[in-house]
Amino acid sequence: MMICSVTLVYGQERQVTGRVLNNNGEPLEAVTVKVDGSNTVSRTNSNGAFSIKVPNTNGRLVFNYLGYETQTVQLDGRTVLDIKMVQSSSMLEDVVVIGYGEQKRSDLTGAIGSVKMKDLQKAPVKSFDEALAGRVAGVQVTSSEGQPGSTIDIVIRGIGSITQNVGPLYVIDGMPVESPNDGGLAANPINALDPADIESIDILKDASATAIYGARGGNGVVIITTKRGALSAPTIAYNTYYGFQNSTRRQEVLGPYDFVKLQWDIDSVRTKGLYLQGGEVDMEDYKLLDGINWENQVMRTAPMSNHHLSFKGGTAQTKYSASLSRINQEGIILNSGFNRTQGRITLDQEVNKKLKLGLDASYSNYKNYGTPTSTAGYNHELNLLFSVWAYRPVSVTNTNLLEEGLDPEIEQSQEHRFNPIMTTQNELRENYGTTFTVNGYAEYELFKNLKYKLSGTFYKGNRRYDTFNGSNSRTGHEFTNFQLNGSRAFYESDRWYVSNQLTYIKTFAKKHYVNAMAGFTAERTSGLNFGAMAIRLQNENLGLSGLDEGEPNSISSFSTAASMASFMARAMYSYDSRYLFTVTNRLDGSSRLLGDNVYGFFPSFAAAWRINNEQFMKRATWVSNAKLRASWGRTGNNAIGNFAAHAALQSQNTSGYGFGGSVIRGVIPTSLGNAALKWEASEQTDIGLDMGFFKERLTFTVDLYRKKSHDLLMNANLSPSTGYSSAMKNIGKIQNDGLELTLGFVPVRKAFTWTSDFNISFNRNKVLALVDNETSRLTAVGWGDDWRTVEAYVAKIGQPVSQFYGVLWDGVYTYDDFDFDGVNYTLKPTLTANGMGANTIQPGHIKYKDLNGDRLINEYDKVVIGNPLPKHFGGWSNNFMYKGFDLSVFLQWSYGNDILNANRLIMESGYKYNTNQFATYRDRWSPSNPDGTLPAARGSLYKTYSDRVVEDGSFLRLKTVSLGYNLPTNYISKVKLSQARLYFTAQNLHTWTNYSGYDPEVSIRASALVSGFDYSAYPRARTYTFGLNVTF
Amino acid sequence: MKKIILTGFLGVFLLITSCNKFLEETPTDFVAPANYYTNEKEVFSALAGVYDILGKTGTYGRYLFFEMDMSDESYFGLSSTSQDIALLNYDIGDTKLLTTWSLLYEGINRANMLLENIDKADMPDNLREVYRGEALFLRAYYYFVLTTNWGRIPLRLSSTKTPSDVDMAPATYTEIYGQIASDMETAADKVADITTFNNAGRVSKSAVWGVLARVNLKMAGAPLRDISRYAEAKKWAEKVINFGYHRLNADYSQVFKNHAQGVYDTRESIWEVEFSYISGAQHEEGMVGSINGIGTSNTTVGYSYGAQRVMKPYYDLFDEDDERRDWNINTYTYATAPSTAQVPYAAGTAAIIYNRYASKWRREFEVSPQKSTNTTVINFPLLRYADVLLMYAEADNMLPGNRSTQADEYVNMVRRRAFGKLKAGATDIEAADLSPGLDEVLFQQAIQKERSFELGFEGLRRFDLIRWGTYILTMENLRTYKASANSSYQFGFRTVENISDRDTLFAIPRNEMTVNKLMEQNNGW
Repeated sequence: MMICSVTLVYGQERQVTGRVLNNNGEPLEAVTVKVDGSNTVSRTNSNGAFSIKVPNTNGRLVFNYLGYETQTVQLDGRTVLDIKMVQSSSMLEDVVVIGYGEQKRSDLTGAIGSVKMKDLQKAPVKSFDEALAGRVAGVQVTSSEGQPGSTIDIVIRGIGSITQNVGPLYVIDGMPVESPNDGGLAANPINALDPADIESIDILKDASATAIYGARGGNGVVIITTKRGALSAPTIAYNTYYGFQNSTRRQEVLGPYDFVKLQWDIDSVRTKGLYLQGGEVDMEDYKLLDGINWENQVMRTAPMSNHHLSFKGGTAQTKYSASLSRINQEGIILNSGFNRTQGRITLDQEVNKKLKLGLDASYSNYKNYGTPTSTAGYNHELNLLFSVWAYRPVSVTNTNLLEEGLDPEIEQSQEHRFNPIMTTQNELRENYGTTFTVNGYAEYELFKNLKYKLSGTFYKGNRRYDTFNGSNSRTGHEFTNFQLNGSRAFYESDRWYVSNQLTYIKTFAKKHYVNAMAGFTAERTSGLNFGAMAIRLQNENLGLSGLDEGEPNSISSFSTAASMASFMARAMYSYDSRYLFTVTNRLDGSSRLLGDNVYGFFPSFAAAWRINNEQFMKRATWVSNAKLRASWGRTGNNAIGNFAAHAALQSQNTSGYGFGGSVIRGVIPTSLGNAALKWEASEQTDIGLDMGFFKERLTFTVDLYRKKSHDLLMNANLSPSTGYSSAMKNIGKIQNDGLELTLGFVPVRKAFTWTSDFNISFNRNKVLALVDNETSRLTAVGWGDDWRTVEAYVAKIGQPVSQFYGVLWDGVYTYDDFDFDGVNYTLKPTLTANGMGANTIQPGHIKYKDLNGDRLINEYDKVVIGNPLPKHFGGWSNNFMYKGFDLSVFLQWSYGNDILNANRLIMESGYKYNTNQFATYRDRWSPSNPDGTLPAARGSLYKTYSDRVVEDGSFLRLKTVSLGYNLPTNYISKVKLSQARLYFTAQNLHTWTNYSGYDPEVSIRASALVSGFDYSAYPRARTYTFGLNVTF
Repeated sequence: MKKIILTGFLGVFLLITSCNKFLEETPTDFVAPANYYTNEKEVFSALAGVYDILGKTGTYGRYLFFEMDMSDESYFGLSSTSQDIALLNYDIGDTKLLTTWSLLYEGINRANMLLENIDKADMPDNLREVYRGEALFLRAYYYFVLTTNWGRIPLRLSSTKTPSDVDMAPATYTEIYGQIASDMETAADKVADITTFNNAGRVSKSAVWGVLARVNLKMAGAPLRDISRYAEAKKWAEKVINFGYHRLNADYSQVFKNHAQGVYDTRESIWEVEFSYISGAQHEEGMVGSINGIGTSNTTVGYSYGAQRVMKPYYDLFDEDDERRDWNINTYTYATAPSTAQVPYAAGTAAIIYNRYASKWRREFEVSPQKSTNTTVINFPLLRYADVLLMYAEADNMLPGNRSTQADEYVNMVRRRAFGKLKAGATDIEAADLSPGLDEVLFQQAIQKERSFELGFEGLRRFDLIRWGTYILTMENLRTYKASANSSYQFGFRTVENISDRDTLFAIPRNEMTVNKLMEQNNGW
């Protein structure tokens, strides 16, 4: 038992003892107990017990605990007290991390959203970004697909760039990290971080908040602070869960009978010979067959487990913490998944009253693996789920399709499909990431109120990427050029960061509060890559160790570096806690720019008025908070390649020429460079209002903003006669206008407690200017063969940066549209063909609208056919507590966004013989089904996008439901436990949507110009976990 | 402690003053143009980069002899492709169109950079001039390909320096051809004799002379129609002939087998696009023999799409004894792998002809450590001696005054070879000769046919028809054959059905039109 009693006063004092518990009757540790009006302070121990000396028993004791409402108790002669603390619903006194400092929420002048970590940590996910969607207003989180470890894009307050990265800057324990998802270089620091180790996530949104990160603040900043030791007795906590995942939805395909019927429609002669065996088999017989369900063969119920052990404590001088965790998440598609082992330690030491030192280190090792299902661009048939859906459900011959890599009935030279079970089992795609981070700081009080802080980080990331294509895989089988082949590549990244900071905080004459900070930071990142590939390996059993026995094919080798130096200053002034002002300036220098453009200056100004502190509001006691905020500032973006400004000559694999058969490697210009590149800038204005009523039981925050980004760093198209297709230029303008609303409400606060948080965001994105002469910019998506060249997106001046682009669907041609000579149907000459030659059009073929009336379907008939950006999105979380039970329900939605379901272009077309289709394709036009709404088999061969495959992607998702039970203290204390909680959590429990694909939260090959595209995306998992949380 | 802090401040101060230095990162993964072109080896690598353009899918790897050379000899056999530059129903955004356009200008920019920097290099002056000549010639050649396909195009004679250099107006035909001819003439004095090289990949004097003959013939025809150029054409062709080194290979088919077998016969095949094998990778391979050639999925022989199919009227034009017919057009296909047996056409299918392939290059002869499915190492001829002989005859015939006897003799040389008369033991050598004393018009018609027989599928037919001003008409005339064609192959008439007056030139690609404010689109687009 340890009780800290700081002051001993002799006299008529009395000892007061007692326990402090929370609503659930659990002991609260490290609650500050203070004698009102004196300096006598004590703290509770791990059993919640305290003991404090009071001058007399008529005084008052004040109980303070972070996250709980402060309680003041009149002793009235009592010397033994049992105190029940009530969880605070007010965030006003919470400390918010603002970048190079902290501030009380009540003192903020900028727009900063804080994630409620306790809610977020209830989600069984491997990294925080998977659970961030819907948690904070103005923060749009899009997961590209459901594969463990796949990219998650975070966009704060709208897309602010056209060709470059639009993600925010991450600041992890002080170290800035740009585009962690990039994948080009070493390990992803977000995947390396266990969400259970995160203390807080604060998201800086307006320019007043982000300007302190200057050149990199333009797309918002996510500040992540990890857990450290606190003043408490040593505590050991262990959290574990185990659960299962399965896919949220299945994609129905045609069964054997419908499949054979479709083959008949495509080629009746061949079908008669093959499936009907020249008449020996009856079509009706196929109704009796189940056929192979390829989806069931490739998908599985996958386990997920997690262990997290932590240890922490501290005295007034020394605080420490350590944690160790292991997560293993297998994917719902065979042979894919994610696992991670992570360890951290932190130490904070107060050397003397003036000097504080701290150190922390973390090591993380993760692996994500599995064939990506949607990345193949050469041909759409190479993507895994195509093979799952399109593979034949039956073979009439004795072939066991399950055991053959190549379907013997398929003309191999025309086909790219491969047995998907074998693909998942024999195609190795493994990423091994390792990160090691050390942070240290020293804080010294130079003079009273003036502190100097030196902090630094060293980070090392390594990644190894292995690929192996076995003899039973699509790219390794014996009929391929490469045969058995594999590659191994290493990526390494080093990064250091140093920050020097002076902070001056003082209150003058009780009313004038000043908080000023000046700092200097420097950082450098360098990276390299080395890899090799070999083909025609000799021995499959050796795996990648046998690379040396094959024929060397290619070597990759690459290195890069970037450095930054920045000066910054911020001054905050508040008068009488009523008028608050903040001025921030930052000067950034970057090695990515040249000459006079190296430095950029980023100022911001903000003011706030705390109306409720005005005299005239004193009476309105029901208003607990009222603050009006306004800010303006300029921030930047330097999201370009490290050497984008330089002209480059390179020798490439393909740049040589063989004179007499011996190849001379050619050296060619690969980049024009642009020495005039400068910082992309955005100016943002924000007006916000924070309100709280009834002692903060009802709160709301509303923010209105306009963000104009200009001189965009854009990969601008050049006229190809220059010899270059594009170059980086400062060109183009984009604007985001938005409204964010956050509501907090505590409807019930008795033995039964219900707290509720709601947020909704509206953002309107508009392109104001493109490259000099362009009024619109078209973008194609590289998902296969000819589709690579068919533009699917348009960015038009005055409209959102990405919209779907294509022709308008007009049903199918009916018999009435043709002249019939008794043998052939000929399209009536007054009608417009569908992009194919009129002589090829037959009844049932797809029909498009000829908008310009030139009787041709071509690019002049293409218009905007959908908008992938949502009208609004948000989240609603609810927490219920009753006795030992707690229930948390979190809903998340997106409304008004469209999805381009490219799967249907392929899987509802009957474009190829022996290729299965979606079950929906039963409703195709055929002579026996002339009312069918979908185009006839082989009736939609003209490659174009149309509104037929644009679907409403709105959804409402019951994302996280967690039910927990805290075992009563009196039982568990017998086994020396201070807390034990059993819980059940379900993730992605249910989704309400009209989208016909696997999941409406999809966006493969995402960028600012391409979003909401679905082709062969990895399906999303529903997860059920059972967990146990114990604290010793 | 204060001392430590002060030291810290000092450190910060030093950091600030050294900031500008700290913010200088030198690229480690590529070289800056300013630091390159310092010696002979670097210059030669840059020159290889200029040559590189010739061997791309967008140039002589495929498009320039396939999609972009649709003529009366063959048709686009990819029936499932419904929109293509080969079908002449493309959009101006077509990527094949853009690819070829961009590649040629990339080559021009590479040549410009080399020409601007070559004097920096520390290298023997004679070698410098050889390289300069090759770069100058290749730049002119790329412009020649550009203008024959797109007409009036921007003439960029210095390298692009900044991203704002996007606007340039098209030059006039006189400027374009004037530049091409004068650059090639300068190059002719600089490049090496063909006997210097053991391969046909390098540009030699013979290659430059021969191409100059071709350029001048084009200038004498559409669109420039400067008939004074016939004399120039004759002059340059004569240079090749009088050089004394060149002669026809006695066996027509052997010329193309050599291309597949990696054998160089520079006496006949003067300049070739080189395709080479790099261990397992297809980086330097082309599609000669795989996009055209005898269609087969037999990977032992070598896979071929057989996408270039034969127009029956072309087949019918040949004399039965002309060896070129059954070499240019196949008489057999292949059995399934691993057999390499030849399977003759059955009686019924043999008569169709439209089902046959442009089979000048056959993968059965390909010599390569590894036959890739889609690509081959078969070289593509850019200039053959037979072409030079025919160009001489054509120019000579078109010149005012009487035709020289050499003109007839040169055509007959080509014909004799075609009828096997140059082979050992041949008899009745002059049996296939042209009738002597043909008048100017008949002789020209004979040349036009002869060029098609001799040079079929070599990427020259559309070029020839356009300069003679007969392309559209020739194509339109083919439409009448559709009804008589086997119904399975009537799709082969899509190109001739789609053709219209605009199609002597391709459209300027959309990317050029949208960014280059001064560019003008061709008629009909």
